[in-house]
Amino acid sequence: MIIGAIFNMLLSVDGPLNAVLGAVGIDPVDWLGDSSVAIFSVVGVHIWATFGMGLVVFLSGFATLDAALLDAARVDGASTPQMIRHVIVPGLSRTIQFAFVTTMIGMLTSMFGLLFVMTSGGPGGSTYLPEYYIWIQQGQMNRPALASAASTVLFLVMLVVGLAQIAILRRGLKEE
Amino acid sequence: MPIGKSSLLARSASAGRTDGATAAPGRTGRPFSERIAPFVLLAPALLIIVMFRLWPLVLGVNFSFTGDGEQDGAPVGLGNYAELFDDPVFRTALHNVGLLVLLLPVAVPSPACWRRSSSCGYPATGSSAASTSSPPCCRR
Repeated sequence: MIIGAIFNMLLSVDGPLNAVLGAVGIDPVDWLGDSSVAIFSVVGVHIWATFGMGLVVFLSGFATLDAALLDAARVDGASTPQMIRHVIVPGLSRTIQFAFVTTMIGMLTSMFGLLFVMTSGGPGGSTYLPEYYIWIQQGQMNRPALASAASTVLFLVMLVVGLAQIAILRRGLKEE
Repeated sequence: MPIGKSSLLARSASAGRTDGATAAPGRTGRPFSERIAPFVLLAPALLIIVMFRLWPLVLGVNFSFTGDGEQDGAPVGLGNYAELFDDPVFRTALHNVGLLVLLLPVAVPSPACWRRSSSCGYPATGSSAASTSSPPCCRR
């Protein structure tokens, strides 16, 4: 919420970000008022806000990599891209799976504050997410049963997306 | 799991002290109280999860099949879901969820790659930094 308030000021049409863009000769962008840009602004702020948590997860993942394997790959003459592809990524497969699933769940459940503060679903309903829709229907429109149906849909979407991610990543990250 | 193992160990130790012929330690040889212990110990936590998480979830799903407003509580079948998918706002919301899924490969690797570029592609763990074999960090 506080992050949203800060970025509200930063991203306003006559705000600092547009001033910087104007200084290098780019036309000001209406970050939160343009219906095709607003959702990307909010997602960008959310990625920035959760960057630290992702960094901690990946730092702990890097710490569990076996230094002997990396040394062996280096001695065998693996280039850096080869090491990343064949040693580091398979070694981090569980970490990457965890990061994907938790980031997706975080995006679906904890962007309410940002939406509420930054765009309130607007402009023209273009930044609605299911959780915000649920809150509007339940609290503003007094439609609890409809909100309940939306919650059920959101639950199923999260379930399907999460399981699909685990399945895809399990197949994609394994070495051979 | 640790409960089962430790009880098995304690059992075999005590069996070794007495004669091993009568008390052959095995899965079937363990008394009923020991076999049921893990489930008894899990029960309170499971009960709380079922009572305060799963049961409300079921109630919520059930509630979504009832009406709002005048037809409060009356069963309307899939009426709410039909209204939901007719609502352009909710369709926009689902569309945005799809957008989030597409943006996920941007969101997840950004912390990982930031770390990589700052340490030249080599995870400088405490052990490898302390090891005397020259760490090949930052070399090609």
